[in-house]
Amino acid sequence: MSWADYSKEIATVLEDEVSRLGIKRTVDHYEEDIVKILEEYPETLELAKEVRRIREEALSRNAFLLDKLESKCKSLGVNFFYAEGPHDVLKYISDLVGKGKTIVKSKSMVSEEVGLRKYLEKIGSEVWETDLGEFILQLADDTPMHIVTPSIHYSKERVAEVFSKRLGESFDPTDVEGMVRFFSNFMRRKYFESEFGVIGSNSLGVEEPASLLIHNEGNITLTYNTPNGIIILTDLFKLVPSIKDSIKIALVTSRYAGYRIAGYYDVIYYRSLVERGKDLHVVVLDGGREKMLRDKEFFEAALCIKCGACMYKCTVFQLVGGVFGGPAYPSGIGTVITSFLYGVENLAPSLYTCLLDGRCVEACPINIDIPSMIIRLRSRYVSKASSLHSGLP
Amino acid sequence: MKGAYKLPESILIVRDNILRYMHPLGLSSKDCSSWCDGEPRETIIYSGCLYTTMEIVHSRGSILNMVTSTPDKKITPKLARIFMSLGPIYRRVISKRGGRIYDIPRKALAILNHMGLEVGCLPNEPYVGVLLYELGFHEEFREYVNRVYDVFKEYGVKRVVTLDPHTYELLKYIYPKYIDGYNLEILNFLDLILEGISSGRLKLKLGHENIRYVFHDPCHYSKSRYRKIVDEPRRILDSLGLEVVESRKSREDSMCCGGPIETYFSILAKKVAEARYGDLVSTGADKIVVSCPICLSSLLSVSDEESKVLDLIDLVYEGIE
Repeated sequence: MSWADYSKEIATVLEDEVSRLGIKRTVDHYEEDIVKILEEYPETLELAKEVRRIREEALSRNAFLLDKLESKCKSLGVNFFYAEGPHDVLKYISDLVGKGKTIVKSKSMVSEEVGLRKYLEKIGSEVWETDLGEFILQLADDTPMHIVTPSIHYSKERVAEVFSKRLGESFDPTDVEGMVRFFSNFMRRKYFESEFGVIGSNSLGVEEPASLLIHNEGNITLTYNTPNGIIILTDLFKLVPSIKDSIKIALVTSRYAGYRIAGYYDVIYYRSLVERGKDLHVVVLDGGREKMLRDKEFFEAALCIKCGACMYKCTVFQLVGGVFGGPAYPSGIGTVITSFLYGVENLAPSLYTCLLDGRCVEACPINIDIPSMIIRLRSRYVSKASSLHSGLP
Repeated sequence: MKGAYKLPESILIVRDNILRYMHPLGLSSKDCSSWCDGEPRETIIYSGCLYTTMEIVHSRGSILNMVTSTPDKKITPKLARIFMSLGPIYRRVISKRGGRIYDIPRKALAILNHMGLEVGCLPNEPYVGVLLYELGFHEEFREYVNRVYDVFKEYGVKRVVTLDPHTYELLKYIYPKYIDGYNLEILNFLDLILEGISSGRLKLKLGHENIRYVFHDPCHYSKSRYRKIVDEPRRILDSLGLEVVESRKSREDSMCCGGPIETYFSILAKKVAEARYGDLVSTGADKIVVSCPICLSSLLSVSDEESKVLDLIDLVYEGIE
């Protein structure tokens, strides 16, 4: 892909009226809601400061927490796997699952990052996204626009069109409830057919190992309760000392994601899953994150709690959505994180799309200075690219 | 992922021009200073050549667009280099036509002199280097800003008054990190105006009746990581006796004008400018006031009426009693 291709992608979204209006509707609502939520729960600001401290402390002893999680998991009889890169995740899970199986999967950015669904489908298993937004994207063979609200660029007409095309019956775009009902019934069958459930973690408490997951549709609860095999796919940055920390993080995350109260906050103790006879696997991905923790100039980006507030408030995101940023993690913070996952030279156009206007910093509960990191990454890219540039025309 | 991206031509041209001519479009330092009708003094106004540059971008945007709408391969690199380096021709444009953006530093100087301050300007002020810094050419930036600093030293400059957020941020907070023994005092024009008003040295009155103003906060003031400037321009507007309305996105929540990516994603930059302009106009304000030459050029380029967008300096100049 060239810079010109990237410009073309930008131009395509700018001209796509449905996407544009979808994105606009979402960000406009968000901008109004977040003001009201913070007025209604003013203590969130203090809590956000505490969350920053929790994250700083947890990340500064990340290696210790990882070791501890491993030994705790082993003593509980939980299968623990540390994956250095995406390929290690894919290999571990595909060896475990095999072909011809049915897998239900809730929304997880790490699974998006490693391309889990497509990989498992390729080797011959059926994978179903249990989050409605992700399900739409699965049927449309599209990618998420935002980490919390993945399919904001889909109107009800577009959804009806995709459903009709892929599910073998026709859907009425004005009957949103009907489409949702169909989805629920369809998915219910898949839950009961499934051998494995894949979930992520918003945060993971190590002391008495447990994951906390925030959701609004109730799908995650079914994803880890119905099948016998459970895979918790997460990354290094999610580890905190205890689930008490996770709860604070979850409150700040969901409020800044634009929810007064999210539909569900599931705390899943690994012990209780094992006691109920589940075959539990915990997969922790590094994928460049450890390198980021050691890099003083970028440590701050690791503090991100993935609430998506900075994306909603980003001037460029408001116009072009997830075209700006990495494939799984959009926008400025996504560009920073993805630069560590895939190498800064692969993110160059997004690095230079950032306006450096600082709206993201104002929006961020953790106050991460994204623009300064973008400038530093540009500098690294320039040094790296100069060595690629032996034969300038 | 998608494979390594090479450095695009438009960005390389900017770097090369700055290193070679000390200006992204090949303008000489003398041309940058052509607004300056004063003498060098210990205290000077330094525009960073941004107003002059934005005058060119504004008046010659259509030529530059051929290079900047896509970062690479739109026209041949050789041709792109020519278009981006037409310094001597741009100079002729400026000296013939003058221009309202270009005229702003001169007005600022007149205001400070009117207040009785001994402030001058340089006959050859170099470009401030913001693009080198923001595009990530930090080694080159180090070398470059030391050259700029040498010019200040050569004239015995002790204090620098800056007029815009970018020059202010760079000189006050970034230059010291790149220059050993940096000892310039950096003053902000807005602070001097407010001091003048409170000490009575500057009496302002405009009181345009039935005209409503809206202030567009520049990002590097309103969301600065170093010093947030949001009340200062509003207090000045207030002193002028103007009726001011606020936009939906104002103060720390204000929105970019699109200018920063104009060098290589001009189509997206224009969309950002249009979105911002739309927000500002939807307040019902008759005039938009900015405090940054980049914002001024961006918003002018999408305005339906050129007289609708003004720099705060224009208003202060007009308001001197």
